[in-house]
Amino acid sequence: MTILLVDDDPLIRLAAGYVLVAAGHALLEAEDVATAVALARTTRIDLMLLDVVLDGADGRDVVAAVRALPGCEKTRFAFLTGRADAEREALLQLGAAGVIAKPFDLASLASQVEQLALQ
Amino acid sequence: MDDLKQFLRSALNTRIEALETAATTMEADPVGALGTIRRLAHSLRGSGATYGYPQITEAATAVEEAEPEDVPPLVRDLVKTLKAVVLELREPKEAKESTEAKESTEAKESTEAKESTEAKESTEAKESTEAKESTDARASTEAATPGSDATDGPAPE
Repeated sequence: MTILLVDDDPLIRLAAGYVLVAAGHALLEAEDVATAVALARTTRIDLMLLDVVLDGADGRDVVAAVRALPGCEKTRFAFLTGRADAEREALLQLGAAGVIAKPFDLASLASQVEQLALQ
Repeated sequence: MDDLKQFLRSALNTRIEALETAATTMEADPVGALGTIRRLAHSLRGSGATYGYPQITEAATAVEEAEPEDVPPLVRDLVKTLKAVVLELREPKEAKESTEAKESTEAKESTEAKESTEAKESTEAKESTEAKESTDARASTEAATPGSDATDGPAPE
């Protein structure tokens, strides 16, 4: 599937991107809302994987901006967060397919993401 | 995963440099320096354990959550932790290079020894052949010399 990974930390993008690509997924990466929206305009996204706290923005802003695009109203999304315990319920109420806690386990990230995409 | 670890090593070196630079500006620009240090610490806090180095997450958390006056020594601890991880990431490759260099030297020495032996054997064989040919030639010459005992035919008159 095609995954849009949005995180402002290049170390996280690299680690997550590495295992997702290794698992056979197409990966798009963005560090901010504008880049994420630009990618979503041109490519059909199966799942957005979003950091909650971006530099000067929020992963929830990405969801709102991408879902406002024609044809993207039902794009699935999930969050990566270092405050999963505190934020999980609120993020799920937004319609997130899931919440993955940081630090995440590289060995199981791809399977976690795949399960979220199936929900 | 090896290329991922090599990238991590490079990325950590960049962050070590950035932390050290920011730490040196703490007196001149405490607000700017603290902001930079906390951003770097936040990133390292999130990614350290993801890469399998919880000690980075632990040291970075201490920096991110510290009171300003406690930050400098904690930054030094974080840099020390990062340098230890960089060293750990470097060792397998260097060990491999060291092993390869040793193997290469041994292989070269072995080849040189073999070549030396072969050259010696070749020289000895050549010398032996030349000696034999010399002996044969001498014998032949002697055979062709008048009055030689080796002459079968009648002596010229």
